Amino acid sequence: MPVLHRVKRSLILLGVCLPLSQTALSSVEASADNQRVVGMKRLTESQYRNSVADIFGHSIELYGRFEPDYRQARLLAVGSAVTSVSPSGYEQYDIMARGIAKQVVAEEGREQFLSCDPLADACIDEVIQHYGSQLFRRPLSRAEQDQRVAVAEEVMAKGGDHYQALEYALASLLVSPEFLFRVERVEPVPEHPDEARLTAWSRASRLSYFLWNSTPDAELLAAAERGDLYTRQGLEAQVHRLLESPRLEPGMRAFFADMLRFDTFDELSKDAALYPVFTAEVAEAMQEQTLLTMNEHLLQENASYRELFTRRAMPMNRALGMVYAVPVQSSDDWEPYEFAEEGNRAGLLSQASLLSLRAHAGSSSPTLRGLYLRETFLCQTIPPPPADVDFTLDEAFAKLPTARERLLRHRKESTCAACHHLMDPIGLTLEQFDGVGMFRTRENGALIDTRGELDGRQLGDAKALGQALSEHDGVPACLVDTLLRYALSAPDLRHQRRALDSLQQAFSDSGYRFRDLLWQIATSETFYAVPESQGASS
Amino acid sequence: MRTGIALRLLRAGAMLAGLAAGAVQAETLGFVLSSFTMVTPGAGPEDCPEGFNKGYSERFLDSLPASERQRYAENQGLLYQAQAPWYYENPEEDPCANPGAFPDPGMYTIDGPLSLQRMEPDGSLSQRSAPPAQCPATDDFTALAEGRAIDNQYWRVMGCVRGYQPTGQAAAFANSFIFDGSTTMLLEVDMPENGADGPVALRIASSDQPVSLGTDGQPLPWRSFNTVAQERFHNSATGVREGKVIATGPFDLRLIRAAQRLDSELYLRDARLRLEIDPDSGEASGYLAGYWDLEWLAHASIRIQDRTGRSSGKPAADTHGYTCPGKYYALQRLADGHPDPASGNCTSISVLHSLRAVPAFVLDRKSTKPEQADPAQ
Repeated sequence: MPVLHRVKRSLILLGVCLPLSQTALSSVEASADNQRVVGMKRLTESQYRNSVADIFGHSIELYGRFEPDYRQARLLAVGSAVTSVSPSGYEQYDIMARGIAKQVVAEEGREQFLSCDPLADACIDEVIQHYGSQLFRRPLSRAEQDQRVAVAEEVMAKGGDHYQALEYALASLLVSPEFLFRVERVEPVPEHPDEARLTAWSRASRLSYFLWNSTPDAELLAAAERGDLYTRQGLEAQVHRLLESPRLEPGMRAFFADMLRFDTFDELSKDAALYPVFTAEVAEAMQEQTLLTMNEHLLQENASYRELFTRRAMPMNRALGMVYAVPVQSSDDWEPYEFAEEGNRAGLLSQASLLSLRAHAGSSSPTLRGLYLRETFLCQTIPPPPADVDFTLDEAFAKLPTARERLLRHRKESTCAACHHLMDPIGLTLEQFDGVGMFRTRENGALIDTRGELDGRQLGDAKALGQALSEHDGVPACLVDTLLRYALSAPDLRHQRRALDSLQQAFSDSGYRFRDLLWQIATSETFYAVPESQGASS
Repeated sequence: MRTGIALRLLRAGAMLAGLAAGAVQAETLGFVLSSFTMVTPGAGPEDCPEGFNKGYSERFLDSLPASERQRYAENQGLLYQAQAPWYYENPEEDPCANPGAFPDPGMYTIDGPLSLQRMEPDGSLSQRSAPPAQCPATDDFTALAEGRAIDNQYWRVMGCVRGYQPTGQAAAFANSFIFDGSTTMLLEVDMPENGADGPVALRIASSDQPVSLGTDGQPLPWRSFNTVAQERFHNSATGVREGKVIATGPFDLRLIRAAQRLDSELYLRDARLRLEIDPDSGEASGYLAGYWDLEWLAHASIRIQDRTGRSSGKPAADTHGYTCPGKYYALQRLADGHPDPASGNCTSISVLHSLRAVPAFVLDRKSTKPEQADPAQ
């Protein structure tokens, strides 16, 4: 669907919800001038939270529900470019906006949030300008500014005091599509008016949400205002600064969580009798362990991405110690733990998070694990099962003690085998980990056979699978694809083949260092390119 | 003695993980108790010919003329009010905080021959019928310590108490002190190598860290626990493994015994532990017998004092169905251990506990606090 169509659809939806959306509608169109909107990406829940915290401070509490993020082309970040806001979702944004604005002007928060006294002349104007530019990630146009001042004046005309006036004005900023969406605009290139380029503000937002998963900070906005982001030197200085910032780690957690589909943990349930260890605390710790591992390996140590699949060290806490059956000294913190070389676990795939996430409520699942691995780490697509598949036949197999035997049917039925041979042999190597990732050697009393295969390579067990993945050329290629897709919120990279090849080569040349890949993408022309269909001026 | 235990445990971690998977080789096994209850088999039809004991409320009702009784019996609030105070500002006035200062109102106990489980010197359990044990002479007790069976004389004291019957309050709240995190008891066993029979060393210690409960409501295995810093809650014993059974020689045991309104200690003297470890699940079960020091018993089970010294003894006694002085004097009468050289009176009473434990990692914590141990405080 063309971008402008989506914009229109979004705004129509917003327009019928609440009076404030009339202001919102005009705000996107008001800045048309010599610029055009070429993309709108709805803030994900984490981006909304981070943005509010960065602008107003971490003490602000959010009251309201977020609409579920939508996953497309493997990523929520991609889905954000095609999602709109439903009427009920907008209602929730409105509730949150009012709640935030109320806290900002509340007596106890005024000193922290307000730089002037709203009773003083021009203070309301000043505050709107200050927060408006942060929320919209660019300076407000005169019209946008006037609209908020008008809101404030209307409140006072109806008997509200200056603080209430400011509260409503701030709330109207917070429900604007300019805040709820990352609105990307292009402008004519000064030297070549027939060509378009992403505006400096849009560049700043793209960069900031890519690396920090949050709104641009004052320095980045200042760099945008100076035009630094149009120059190689200015851009590199900002990318360098963002990459060296401690905010990179929380920013990249969002990417890792998106790539690994950790949002599906929210709907993950396990049989309470079979897996008593799968408590809410353990489920949360599982995710945290993997995110900490990736941060540590890829960002802090800047180690090879390939080695992530054979790494024996991982952070551990007491809740997870019960899953891995290992001692944990610290009673309330994470500590490093290294599995023995001759042990059963190594690499990301042996972590309880991934093993739990792709398993059934009451058992492991070689099929789901194999599918997940193909999709997530090799960027391959496996078609869904045919509509006429007869699951009743499985009952005869269900009595068999091990998954390998139960899955025999997949190999015998030709319609199943076509796809299952891509998944099951991978997943079977992980069978010594039960439905929550606890180690076992037997299933229903029978010894577990962990032999499997990946693209013709015979594997003995989970560690061999990790080794095979670490040596698989498709694995780093898939990361490059996923990260670029994430950075651009692009569902389709077919037009980026050359850029992908170049990034993959650079990634390889760097020794598969993730930080280097971030640099390559964040400083690439591809990252700031105008979407293909929006390039020509109209 | 404890140097290097933490390191050894870290090494043992991998082996312990292997145990659950069916391996039998392990150097040190750690456990946390998931169940620890007194063996209270329930009174037989002949055991309490006078019936069950009565608590404060029942006694009060009995003291009323029949015409008055109905009014209170039908109104729990009124009955409760009539028995006030339940908590005393002045401990001297509290029959539970200071039971020895009050006359003995009597307590029905099981005084006839009784077939009850007792622990034999080899750690086995026997169940022959026998009359109540008597308080032995000082020399006899010491001389026969190694060869004496440990009775469960405490059951004789509580056998005619309604709340201690299998369907009573004690059973209903069994192990709640473990599940709610008030009391955590750890056990470590240094096993003979290669699964052979032979000598074993055991350590039993308290932790101030609660067990983690699973989604099935039971304590989870493989949690790591630090022992408490106070050395007096670190106990050691030696024993022998023969086949599946580990049996220890006598050892003194002090553990933190806390519950909702209780902050006390379990002090067993000349205790013996019998333990069986399931090689498949890695879980352990068994029995702990010993002589419960009467002063600590009174602290934990009659006075029921919290850290402020406040006694919850009276409401507890009323709930179960006994009086504090009655229990106090019955304990003196049936005490069968550690006769005082001066008075000749026994200062402890035999008791038998059953226990279950799940695998855990026991980690040391260095002592940081001065020792304190005075049941009278």
